[in-house]
Amino acid sequence: MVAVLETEGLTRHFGRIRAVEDLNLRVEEGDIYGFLGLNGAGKTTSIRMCLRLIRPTSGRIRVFGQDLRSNFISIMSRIGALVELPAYYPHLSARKNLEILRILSPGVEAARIDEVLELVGLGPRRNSAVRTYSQGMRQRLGIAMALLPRPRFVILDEPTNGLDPQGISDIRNVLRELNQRHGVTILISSHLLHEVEVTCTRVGILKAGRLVEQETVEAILAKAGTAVRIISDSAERALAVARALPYVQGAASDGNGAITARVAADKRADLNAELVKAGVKVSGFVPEKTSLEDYFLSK
Amino acid sequence: MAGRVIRLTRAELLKLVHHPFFLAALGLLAAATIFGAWGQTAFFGTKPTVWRGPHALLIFAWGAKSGLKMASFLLVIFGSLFFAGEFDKGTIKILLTRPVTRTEVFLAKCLTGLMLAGLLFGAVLALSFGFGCLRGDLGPVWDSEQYISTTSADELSAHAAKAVRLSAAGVVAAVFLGIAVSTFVESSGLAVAMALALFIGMDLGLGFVREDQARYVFSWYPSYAFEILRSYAEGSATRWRSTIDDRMTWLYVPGASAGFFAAVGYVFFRIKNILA
Repeated sequence: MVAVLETEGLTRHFGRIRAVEDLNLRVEEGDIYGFLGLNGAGKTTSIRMCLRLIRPTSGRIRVFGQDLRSNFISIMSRIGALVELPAYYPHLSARKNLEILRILSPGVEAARIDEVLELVGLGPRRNSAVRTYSQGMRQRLGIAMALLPRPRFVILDEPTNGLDPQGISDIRNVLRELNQRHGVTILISSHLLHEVEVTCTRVGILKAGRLVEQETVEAILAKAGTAVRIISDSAERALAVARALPYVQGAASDGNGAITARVAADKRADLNAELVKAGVKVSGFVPEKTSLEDYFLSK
Repeated sequence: MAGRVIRLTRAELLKLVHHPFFLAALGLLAAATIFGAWGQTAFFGTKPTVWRGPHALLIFAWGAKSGLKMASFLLVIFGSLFFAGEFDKGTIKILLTRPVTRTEVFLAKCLTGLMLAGLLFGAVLALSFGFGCLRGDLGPVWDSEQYISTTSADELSAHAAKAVRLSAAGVVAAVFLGIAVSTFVESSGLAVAMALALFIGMDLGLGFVREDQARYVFSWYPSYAFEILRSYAEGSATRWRSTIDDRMTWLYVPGASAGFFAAVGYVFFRIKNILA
């Protein structure tokens, strides 16, 4: 697979703060890549470095197989980006905002403006001043700005911030269509783990500036296995037994007298047998599907 | 590169003419120019002469002096908004994630600043000259008591052309002062306040320096040039300072100031991490 975005040892320090440390990111062609991490994990700093808004302390960035620094113009003509909050000229209409952007993007015809405004559902309000827009409409405008130059690679930092459920679903569909019908590679940074799970093909998990996981969503879910909710006479003993078993990937009490243990489907019976053997009276043993959220929180 | 700078400049001009302050600024400029031209004659009168009313170039000099002072303030304000306004709104991210370099963005902003300076400078001159022609007479300057011409029309035109020439670079330097400040102050309000404080401080500071030292401050030239033109048009005894002409300080001082401001602004903008 060809890497659309590849970083090698990407590092950024702000004084003594290590915002990003030795990041080796790889976004492959055709991916919808979910970039996950808690607030302050370094997602936006990484994205800013990948767009040369911030200079890295060290490390290399290659986009479309080319070094970003020495091929900036050629690379940026194929990238669309929305970084953190959408930015716009509030006294201008959405059309005028996009017109400014169109002037800066060679080869984009005027008709493309109305096309992207329709795509993100801003067609009826295209001529209103952006300052009169709701938060969700501004977010849609930000996405329209990223999509205007028909990019081959789109970087969206928290694209569904401020959108209602319908808006989230609409944007998800737009991104999927871009990816599946037009082959656009997409990198999304998001906190909405369910959205990432249903939209993305691969994810990278960033923790305290370090990439701790980079896998396909399928592989992560398979690795996470399924979970079992166990109701017994003693949650503490059940937890101790489960945690001692090598094939149990994680176990936690849910605080209501039950525990949840992550275990592969073919090992569930063994876990049950071990609990009984240890004298734990099991009254409930309910298999549950592990979500990306469960996996993310367990990292 | 030239093509990208031209595209960026087009985008900058589009933003500029739609800026909420743009029309207000043109209104302020017109008001200051007309008020300068009309107010001086109305409130302070003119040197009495039995032969004629005020000379058109006298009214022009008053209008231009006052208008160019306002134009300089406005250019400092617009210059301060060029980058700080983009940082404020976060739109700098949009510019810098397009296929353009920071150098090109900076050049386009400077070019737009120069065009704006040209527009405001031209507007002040056209307006004050038009007003002067409406309210005054052209031709030679007559002695106030005897029917003799003290300065011919041709001489006076040459003085007017010289006043315009001497003022231009000072006005241009004002916009670069604003640009320099706006590259390191990320709030537009603060950038405008800082740049205006510097500019006004320089103006006020002129009152404390000796006349021969004033020529080292770029903002002194428009006022000086049109004050001399006013004296010529009034028939008063006056002459241009030879030190300014001989050494071309009217060009070098504002030019060097503009160059210095541009260099400072460029360095700041190049090394800046965009966290907006």
